[in-house]
Amino acid sequence: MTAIATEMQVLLIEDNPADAELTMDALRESHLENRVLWLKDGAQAIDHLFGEEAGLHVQRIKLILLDLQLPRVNGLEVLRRIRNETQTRRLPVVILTSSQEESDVIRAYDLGTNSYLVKPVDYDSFITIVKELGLYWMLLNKSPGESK
Amino acid sequence: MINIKQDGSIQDVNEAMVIATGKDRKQLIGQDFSSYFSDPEKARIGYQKVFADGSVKDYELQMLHRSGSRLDVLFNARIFHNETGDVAGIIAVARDISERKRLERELNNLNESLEKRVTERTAELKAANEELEAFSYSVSHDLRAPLRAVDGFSRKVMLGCGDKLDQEGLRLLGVVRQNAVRMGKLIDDLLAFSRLGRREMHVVAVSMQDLAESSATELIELEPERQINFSCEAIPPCLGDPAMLKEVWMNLLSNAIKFTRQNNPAQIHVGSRIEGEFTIYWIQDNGAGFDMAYADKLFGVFQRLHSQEEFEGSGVGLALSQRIIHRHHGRIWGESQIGQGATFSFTLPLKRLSPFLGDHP
Repeated sequence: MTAIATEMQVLLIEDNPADAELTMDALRESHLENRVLWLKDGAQAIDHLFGEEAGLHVQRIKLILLDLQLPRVNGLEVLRRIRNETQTRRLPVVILTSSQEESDVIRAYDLGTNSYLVKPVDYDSFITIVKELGLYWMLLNKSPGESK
Repeated sequence: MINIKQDGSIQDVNEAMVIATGKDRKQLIGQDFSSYFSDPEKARIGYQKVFADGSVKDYELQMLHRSGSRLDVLFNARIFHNETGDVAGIIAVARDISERKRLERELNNLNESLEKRVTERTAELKAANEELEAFSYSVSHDLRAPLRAVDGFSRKVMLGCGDKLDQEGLRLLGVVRQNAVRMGKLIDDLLAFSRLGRREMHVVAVSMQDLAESSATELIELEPERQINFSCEAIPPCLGDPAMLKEVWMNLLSNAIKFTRQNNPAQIHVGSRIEGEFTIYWIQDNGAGFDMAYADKLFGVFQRLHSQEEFEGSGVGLALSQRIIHRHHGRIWGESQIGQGATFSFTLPLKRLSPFLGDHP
């Protein structure tokens, strides 16, 4: 995914290519598809957020969509790192997962997620949810340090 | 029998003491009484107590045999006086309690091994439970993800290449999607069922009337086109977990609403009666009913008595309700005749529930 340098990004951290494609379909409906950067596992996410170019990357992120069951570094661990580091701690993170387990919901909130959404099996509900969350967090929600 | 002087030395013994110690009578006389016991200090305290109090009863000691073996005994002793009335010594009688002690030790060993087995078994159960939890976690996540792809990509075919498909092709894709969504629902219900076994119960006084009426109101609101006459008698409260009992009412009432679909108006009536130590709550409807020949299948997981086309459902609702009622130490059953409506009843104990309530029946 390439994006125009100045535009704010959605960081999609998702290992399942089918789910990633469906998520991008939904974001397309909100005209956000060009602003998605898809990372395929937790280790890629850690590298992107805390690696050499992290400074450049982080200032463009407007929203992180985070799956929980990720290969290598799982989603909760990624969330913990995000909340622990000064430069990423205030980034809006929305957990987007298949897990309905109460223990996951509790741990995600304890670690400071901004929202927790369970992916519906049904396509139409899934598209609606992701489309609306894209619009809400990208257009309506105000993050610290934003001028407008 | 043994005769002890005030200084603790042995004055005389009978044959039993000779056998017990393995020493001659002559060897024993004049020796310190306490030296023939595994705990001499306790023996000393024993005879001093007799001199102080006049007697002791069932004083436990362990005698030493010359061979090194030990004999558990109970001493009963009292002081005796000489002709002038002065205390002359102690007469002590020992009773062999080795058999009793052996049984006690055996019992202790048994208890210990039992405790050990309970600990092991608990650890096994805990491991099995954790495994089950990991399993249901995996079901919740790993099975739903592919289903979303099945439904999502069928939908993408319909949207993206719908013009290349004829009516039948579109219908077939529709069937794929319906089934994916249905399987998603099955997985969700199964998860709810497995979660219920792990959920802790929070027992309080529950207004069953409020639960029944609020559940009915919520469910009837979902069916604005239908005419559903619901009535609820004054039913007594109970002790139980309100969230779980709410699920029972929701399941039974939504069944009543579902199976009265072809009856206009639908009649759903809730009532109760007290029988012995239980309250029986019941829900009666004028719906499709079921064949009593299959009544035993009603409460099995995924068991259904109607086709998907007649009445949709996953077959988990009643299984879930039964599990909840069992955890409350009650019973649940259904009675019906085809076309004559159905009555579902469940019992809950009137008395305070036992502390083992959280356990499975």
